[in-house]
Amino acid sequence: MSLTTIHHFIGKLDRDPSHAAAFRSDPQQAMAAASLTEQEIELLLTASRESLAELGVHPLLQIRYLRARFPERGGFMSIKDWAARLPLEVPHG
Amino acid sequence: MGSLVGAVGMSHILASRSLAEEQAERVFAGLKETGTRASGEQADVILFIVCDHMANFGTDLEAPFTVGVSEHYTSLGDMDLPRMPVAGAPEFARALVASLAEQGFDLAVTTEIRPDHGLMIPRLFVDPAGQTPIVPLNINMNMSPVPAPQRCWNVGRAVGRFIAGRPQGERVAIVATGGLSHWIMRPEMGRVNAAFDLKCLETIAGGDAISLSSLSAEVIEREAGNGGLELVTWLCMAGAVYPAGGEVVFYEPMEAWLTGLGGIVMHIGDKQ
Repeated sequence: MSLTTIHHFIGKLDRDPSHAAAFRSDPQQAMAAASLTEQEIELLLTASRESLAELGVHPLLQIRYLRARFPERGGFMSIKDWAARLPLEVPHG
Repeated sequence: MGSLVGAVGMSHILASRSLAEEQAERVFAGLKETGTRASGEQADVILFIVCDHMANFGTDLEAPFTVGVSEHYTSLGDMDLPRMPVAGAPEFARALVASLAEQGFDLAVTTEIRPDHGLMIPRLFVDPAGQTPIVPLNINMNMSPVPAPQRCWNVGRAVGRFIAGRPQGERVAIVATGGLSHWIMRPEMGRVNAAFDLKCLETIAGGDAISLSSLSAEVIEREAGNGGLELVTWLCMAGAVYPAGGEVVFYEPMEAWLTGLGGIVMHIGDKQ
């Protein structure tokens, strides 16, 4: 299809819970359902910096995609190490 | 007339402490001091000048400047932050947009922002109690072409005039968040340009941010990376408090976190 379609697909991963769930369940099927081409799907499934750059995916959407694709990886960009020293209590009411 | 209680620029990430413990502690201390000196808890409203990380503003509709006008926000919850409710200041926000329109700047408005770490991490330091309503002003540095730094500076100047002329007389804190140099998913990722970062910090502290605003976005991106374009939030903030200078609170060239981090407090009246 186009880079626009890929960007739209990735952007929805953060904004549309049902879309995100479908992607988590079967990434390939979810991408095919969004009319991405076989080549685009292959490059997105490869999910390397090179493959995403080859598609022209926006750098920040590359990060969002990788987080959705590999949630188990977590990442070092996190407040976890500092949580005990931060006012993180969610207000009630 | 409205008054400023604080104006700061500060980086907006925290990451693994174990990667560089001493530096990480200095960053945390620097964020804490910068945030405290923004006086967010003494303010009636905090204006956060931010660059969204494409969690809210994708490629479907790209607006250079967008103001959040909602009564309530729920944060995105990225970087392992909790999702939490945040009060907005819709009357102030809409008045800001109207004022800027009168001054020649047409800003978009939205009620749909879910503040990401770029706002929420600084807020933890600026307003630990979390009681002060916020207004997010997003500068979209992910679109093409990006807003020119000069434009961001001029928007800041207009923001400053709006606050000064505000008949409601609110106490306002301005917090610019982002930067400094970092390259996101680019071959240079991991590089930090400390010389450029320090030059920017010292120039803003010296009251000459206007000279940085004459840099093109291309030059900033070349020197500070695509992530370093967030510097425009600091220029916008400096424009709002022009001709104030300030003080560099901290700077760390944090290669372990893939970025330079810093904090600056502007000297506004005798508040600082």
